[in-house]
Amino acid sequence: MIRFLVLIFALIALPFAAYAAPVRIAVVTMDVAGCDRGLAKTMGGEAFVRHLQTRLNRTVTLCGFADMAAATQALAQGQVDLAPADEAAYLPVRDKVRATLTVRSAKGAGRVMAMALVPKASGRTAPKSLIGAKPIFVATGEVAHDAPLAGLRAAGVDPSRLGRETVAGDLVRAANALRAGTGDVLIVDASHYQRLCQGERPNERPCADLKEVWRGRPAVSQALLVRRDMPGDLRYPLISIYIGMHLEAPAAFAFATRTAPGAAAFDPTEADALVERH
Amino acid sequence: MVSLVRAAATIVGALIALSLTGCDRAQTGSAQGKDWRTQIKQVRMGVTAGEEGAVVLGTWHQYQTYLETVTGLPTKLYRASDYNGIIQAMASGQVDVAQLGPAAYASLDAQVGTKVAPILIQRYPEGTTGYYSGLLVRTDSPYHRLEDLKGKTIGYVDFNSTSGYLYPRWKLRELGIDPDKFFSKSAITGGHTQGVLALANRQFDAVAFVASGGTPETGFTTGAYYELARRGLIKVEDFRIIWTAGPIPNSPIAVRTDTPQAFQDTVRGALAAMPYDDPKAWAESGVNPGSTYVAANRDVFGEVIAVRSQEIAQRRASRSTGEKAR
Repeated sequence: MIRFLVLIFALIALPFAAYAAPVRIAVVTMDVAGCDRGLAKTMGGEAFVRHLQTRLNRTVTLCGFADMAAATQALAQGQVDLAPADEAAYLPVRDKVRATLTVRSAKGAGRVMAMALVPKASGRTAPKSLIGAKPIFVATGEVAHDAPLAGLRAAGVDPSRLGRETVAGDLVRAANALRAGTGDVLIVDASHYQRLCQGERPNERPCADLKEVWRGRPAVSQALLVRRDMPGDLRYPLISIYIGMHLEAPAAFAFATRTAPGAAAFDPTEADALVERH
Repeated sequence: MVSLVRAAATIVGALIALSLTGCDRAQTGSAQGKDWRTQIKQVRMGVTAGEEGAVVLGTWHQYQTYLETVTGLPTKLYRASDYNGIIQAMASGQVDVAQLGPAAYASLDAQVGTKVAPILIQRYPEGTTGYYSGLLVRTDSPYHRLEDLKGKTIGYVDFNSTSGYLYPRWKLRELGIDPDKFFSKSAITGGHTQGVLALANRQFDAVAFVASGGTPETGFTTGAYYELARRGLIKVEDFRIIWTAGPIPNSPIAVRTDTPQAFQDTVRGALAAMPYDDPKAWAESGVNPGSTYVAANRDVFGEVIAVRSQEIAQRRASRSTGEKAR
């Protein structure tokens, strides 16, 4: 009888407890250790907490940690729900947590997606096979050159291990240079890739003679992490609230990005966005 | 033993009452977690697929599958064949979420105000979030500059089309050109596809069209004109772009704001996460490679809303002048 009642009790209380549980957000501070409702006031984060509480319809509490490593350990152990991290803090608990949001700077284009294309006959099939290859770029600058190289670094290809680079000046010359063998790999941002490979006629495949050996984005230096088992019912609303915060609650955004001067907005990320070298 | 059972029954009763109170609150619109599903039951998405039909529908079929997985709810796709269809479906609450042209959103804003809100807009890899309106002519025509079209005929797309009607007319007025006097004759073609095909069939000297996936400097890669070429219905080299206006903020994904906030946030968060959580489905949806979604609000479309109001005021003024003359 008692077992039966305990079971009923658990079944009823479980969903109720899940909805009522506060969302605990880790912040790095020397002032307070642990979760404390007064911490938002101490840190000037009242607008931030209020915004999240209103949107989530749940209590939100800030939890203080001395550094990001301590915060991510607490996240992995289920003591908090969201924590800031860099790569060093993330890697030890990578199996339990994931990156979910990062700050986009007002300067620059952000995490530009790029591709590496090689002639099909080259025999190169993976990012690592590009070591020693001579890269061709369409242009210099962040979008066409620097971001693609940073992305390649995150894929495990150190730019210093690439051969001598060619900057072709335009897309047609860059593609011609690859086909003529002036270089071994064409590294292009996604917009140039689309222009090069999309085609303008039925069944036209302008890049049919090329093979894509890598596609990716640069790693991020810091991200907000959640546990990998966080349900979508909480993770997606959190993403929504953060990516719209600069428009919908500027004071909350100012607090959330207090350690990232020049922040423009939050963007979602892939789980391993912090990993600099895969 | 009897008292133990009574005590347990009291606790269980109290918890049931608490749970039901929680459900009631959820149903008022501030739902959290799974509770909002008691209100929504199915996700109703609207899409204007009269033009670039295959591409647009391909994209939304991917979203449909993805959102079904994310929300755990059946997700239904309502297809409108023209701009007004989707405007009325959103205005009347027949759909919960839709992708609209900026001018269509501006029309909705005028009709229902804050009952519909833009939540997402596409961002291209290089960081831009806009597209262009252009004037297209046949390559074998003698028209090379805007001035060459004085006294010629023009096809517009739809009164609710941003790039195919609203923006080019506004920009022409900014240049001191009254589009209703500059062109000898104008007509509505009914869609971007129909407009380009009408130009190919020599029904107009020029048509207003949508150009995206690039800039006037880099050239464009997407829009009905390019899709028709890929389908083999026209050849890109048979046409010439002689004028562009923009950028116009990209088409927003908008939601009905009388849906639960948790639903709106789940949809926005899930779609924004899609390029990162499910890159394969995202790539297969037909979006420009490397594109993502970023948050948007009404302010992003402030200029389009103002331009639409101006256009309507202009039309009313022309109509009343015409009536007085009669």
